[in-house]
Amino acid sequence: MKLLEVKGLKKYFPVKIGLNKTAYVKAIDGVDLTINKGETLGLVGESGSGKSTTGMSVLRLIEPTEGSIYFEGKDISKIRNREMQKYRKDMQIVFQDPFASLNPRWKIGKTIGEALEIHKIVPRQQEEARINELLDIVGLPAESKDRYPHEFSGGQRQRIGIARALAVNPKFIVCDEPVSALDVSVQAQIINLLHDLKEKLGLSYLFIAHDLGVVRQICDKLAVMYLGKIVEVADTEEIFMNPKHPYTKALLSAVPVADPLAKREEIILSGEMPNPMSPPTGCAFRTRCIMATDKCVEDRPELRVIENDHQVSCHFVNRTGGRENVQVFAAQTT
Amino acid sequence: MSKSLLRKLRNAIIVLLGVSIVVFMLMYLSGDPVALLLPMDTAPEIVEAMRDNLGFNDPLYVQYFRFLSGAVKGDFGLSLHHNQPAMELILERMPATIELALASIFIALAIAIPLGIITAVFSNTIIDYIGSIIALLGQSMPVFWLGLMLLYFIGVKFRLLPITGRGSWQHIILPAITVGAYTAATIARMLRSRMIEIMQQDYIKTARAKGVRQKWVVLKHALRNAVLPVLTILAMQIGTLLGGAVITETIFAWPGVGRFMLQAIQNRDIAVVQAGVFVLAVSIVLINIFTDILYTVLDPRIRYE
Repeated sequence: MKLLEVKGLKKYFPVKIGLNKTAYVKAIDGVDLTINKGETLGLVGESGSGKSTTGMSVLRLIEPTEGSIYFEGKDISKIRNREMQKYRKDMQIVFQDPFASLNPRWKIGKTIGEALEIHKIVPRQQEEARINELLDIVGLPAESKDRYPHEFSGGQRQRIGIARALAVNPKFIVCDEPVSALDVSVQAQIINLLHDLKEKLGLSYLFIAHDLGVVRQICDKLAVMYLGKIVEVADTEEIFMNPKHPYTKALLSAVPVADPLAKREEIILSGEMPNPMSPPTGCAFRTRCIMATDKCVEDRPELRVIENDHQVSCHFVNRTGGRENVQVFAAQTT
Repeated sequence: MSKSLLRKLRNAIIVLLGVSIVVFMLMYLSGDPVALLLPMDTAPEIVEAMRDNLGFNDPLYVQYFRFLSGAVKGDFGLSLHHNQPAMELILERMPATIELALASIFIALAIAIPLGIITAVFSNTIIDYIGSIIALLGQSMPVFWLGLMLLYFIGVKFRLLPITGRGSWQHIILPAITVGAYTAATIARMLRSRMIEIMQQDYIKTARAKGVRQKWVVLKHALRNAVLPVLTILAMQIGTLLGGAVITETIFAWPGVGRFMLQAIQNRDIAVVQAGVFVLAVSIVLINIFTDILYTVLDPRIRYE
């Protein structure tokens, strides 16, 4: 069952160039996503591809320029702020930087309690008990509530961030690179915690990451983003075993393998991601794609279904010819 | 906490000792102090006798310790001009100065905090531009000009408020605006830039994600984090104001320390200058200690650093 469906989401940031001219940074440029109940969708891509903007636009922490966001069938993209407050109870976010996402002047208990009060989750007398319970869920002692954020380590703060998000009993949480600011050993703990919570509380996540190893552990489905667009969507294992889009292949080839003797092809992308202020015509990836032809310059490839639930936006991937083309591509890069 | 407070008190004493040396040396700044006391054509023997009598022939350190033991008790000697203890004269005028300082700070905050918040919340809109221009004007306008304009238009032309002296609450309004305008503008501009910076922070997004209304996001989450540098400006400003707002006090004939000190300097009334400088130094040191303590109350992170 669909919990969240995003259609044609766009976010353009205006940038003043010169006195009277305004250019637009197309941070996200027509994104479609679907997340089912109890499902974790991973959103991957390099820095600047629009992952975080997508995550925050979905929650309307950034107002999208265009597009629809259906949450449990209701379009929340245009409702008034006051009405949106009700949905805030069901949709939460865990930020990347646990040092920046907690108000430094507030004790933890107050930060968590504020959400309880706004949405009247529990009667006031039970507030403290609920805060203790939430802290316990994320593995922190109850005394933590009387302390300030700076008294905790990064991993502990991220636990607090998760407890805060859980306070309102949400159905859906955007995890915006929740572990990329943490030590590797701590990353595993937080990933496990998020995984357990999902099982226990029946949550759905939009999990934004650039570390594919992390994503593989927790996500059911993956969406690969490039320059504000989604270029490939499929089940996580399918993407890892059978990537179709040249960009996805390059991304996967960059994942380190634990075996130093293992032979693997490495595709190193040349150049930088183009400026989102003036994206290339046609296919956004064509400037770095070794397979690019005139067709890619002229036509923008749509995201289309290749195999069951595997969607790719590339002119050269299709039902029958997909693998051959991919091989040509691999041969040229090695 | 108590340890750092003790350390601050120790530092304060060291600063005040330094100030006492400078204040002591003031006596010699305009030449031989005895020569100032006597007519130009006094016989040298009389000058010498006077010098002996007043202790100016003792070694410098003896003189300094004599001065210091007096200063500790608040005794800076008699004013030459008024023939009254210098300290008494200063303290008599202190209430007027404190009153003006507090009133101007009050006016500054009453203008600056709303202005800073509004320009930040509506940044880069017409509201922000107008507010920022007002703030810029307030900061760049010379005090004497603002004072004279207020005096002329509000006091003389429209006769809305009294223009000289001290008395009813109405007397303080014009001088307080004159003194407070610069502080208001400085604080408003600082608050605006801090607020804009803080509104970009993740914890503001966190608050909005929680469903906190925009009004409360600004007031409860952003403002409290933006207010610390305001406190710094305020503390510095109070320190300066306690020394007396010389120009404003002169324009509005406000009977405060500033104007009095200026007269004392012109009269070469050194005891009064010494007492005044010393009182000012003590107040600034005390305000700094107080501000430091207030910091730790407002920002829990400072307590542990």
